[in-house]
Amino acid sequence: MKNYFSMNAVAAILFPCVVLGALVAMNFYKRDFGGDVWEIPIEGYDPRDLLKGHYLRFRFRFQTAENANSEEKCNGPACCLCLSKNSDGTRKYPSAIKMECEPARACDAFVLPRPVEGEKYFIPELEATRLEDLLRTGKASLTVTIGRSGEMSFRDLLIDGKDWRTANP
Amino acid sequence: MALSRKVQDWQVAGIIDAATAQRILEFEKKSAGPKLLFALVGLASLAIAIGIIAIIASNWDQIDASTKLAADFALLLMVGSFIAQKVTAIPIWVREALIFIFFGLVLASIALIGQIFQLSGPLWRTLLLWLIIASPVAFLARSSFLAVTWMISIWVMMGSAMSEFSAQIKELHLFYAIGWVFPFVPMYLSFIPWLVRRRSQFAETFRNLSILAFVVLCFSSSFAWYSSRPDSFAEGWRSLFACAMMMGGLCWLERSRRKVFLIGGLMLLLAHGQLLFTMKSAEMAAIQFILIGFVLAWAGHLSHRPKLITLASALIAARIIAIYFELFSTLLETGVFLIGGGLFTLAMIYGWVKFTRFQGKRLGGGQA
Repeated sequence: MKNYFSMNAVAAILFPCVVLGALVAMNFYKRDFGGDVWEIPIEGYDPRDLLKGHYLRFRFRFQTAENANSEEKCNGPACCLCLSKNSDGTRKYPSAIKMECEPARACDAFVLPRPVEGEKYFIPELEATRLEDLLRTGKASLTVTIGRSGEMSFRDLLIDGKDWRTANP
Repeated sequence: MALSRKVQDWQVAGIIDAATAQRILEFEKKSAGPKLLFALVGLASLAIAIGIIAIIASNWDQIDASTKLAADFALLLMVGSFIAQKVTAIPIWVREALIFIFFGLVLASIALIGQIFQLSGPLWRTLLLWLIIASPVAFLARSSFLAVTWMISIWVMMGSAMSEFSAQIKELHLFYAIGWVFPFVPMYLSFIPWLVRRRSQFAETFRNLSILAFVVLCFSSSFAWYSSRPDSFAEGWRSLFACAMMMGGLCWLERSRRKVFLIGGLMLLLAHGQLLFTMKSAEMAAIQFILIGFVLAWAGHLSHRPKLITLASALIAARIIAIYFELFSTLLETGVFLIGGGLFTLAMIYGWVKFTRFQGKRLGGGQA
């Protein structure tokens, strides 16, 4: 082995492979086991330009709730979101309040501040046109895993409650 | 072709004999071969690496995520296993190509993971992760093609981070100082002892890239005269101070070439001209550009690089032509100043020739 391989080169090759493997494992765990799964409706950041290249540009459209104390309420990009389950205990289309991050930790789930420029969902190049039609006619939502630390991992894009791959325009 | 003509000239002038001429040509022919080969190998590998990234970017949905990831890791390990073989086991150009492909493949893998897990973030973070984990492999290479690619990637990453933070950087001097870091980074890297000892090709390439970037930045800084900024005087001095510190560090690292750094310092001072004044002036932009050109020509003269003098002269000439179209409105004015400028340049050449002849005589050489 030592005669055939250069050990420095082996280390240099394995280093990125190990880091990439760890990245996969970490994201897989976060997405599939990192917390509860919620379904949140989404809307286009700019309705005329929902699809940009190979990704969908969107914002979450939370149902707003008004049951927060006035001192906990918050405005601006640095606010967290406090999510509440529906009255029947489901996590579909939850109601949300913008509030300071510390009190938000006591909610059913809390979401750390999201990017100001909106969210991205990568889509296959060859399916872009079909998805554009689907988004125009159907109601889009996204299933996400929200961890205890307030981080969000995207799962599936749904059109009228169905996986977008099987949905028909 | 140029070399064979030169060798022929030297032979005719009696400087070298026919056997020496033959030996020079043979030596140059041998050393030119791998350079061309490495350049072609580099270009082909670049095409392959970009191709892989493009296929991943198309987000082909016919294959499920786990298969895509498995195929990606299998490809990484397969290419890696060839690279890890002892240098003597495979031809050097094949190894160089594989290293380049592996380097690109790591970036493609990060993109694939980002796509599968729907991760999005600023470009600079992706590039930073890529450069941290793939650089050890890049430094296994020996050709300058990978050194250039690596350095350009570092610059792209720095530029991307800078554009993201530009909104937060309120102070102009800080922004300028960060901009000037770009050419200094490869120069400082070229002094790393391991690089000098084990990867001299990388060190040399970094040095050349640094000089190129420095010269380009010096020349392009003159265009800042076209926009006026209030209260820039103090900011200009701060940026100049930061650059002087970076230049001073280089001067300390290479004490034997202080004259070169003195020229660099002079160019830096000229390049900061627009920051030390608050006015807007097309004339000053042209003067600054031309002065930097003269300093560059002087650097070419001191380092015995006639090509540098030719380049500086060409840039000055192009700028002089641009001045006439920029500053004067009528054909009469343009004509008068074109003639005046031409006569002035001829007078300068005459003075230069006189001066060099005088210097030659003073040193006892007769002709300069």
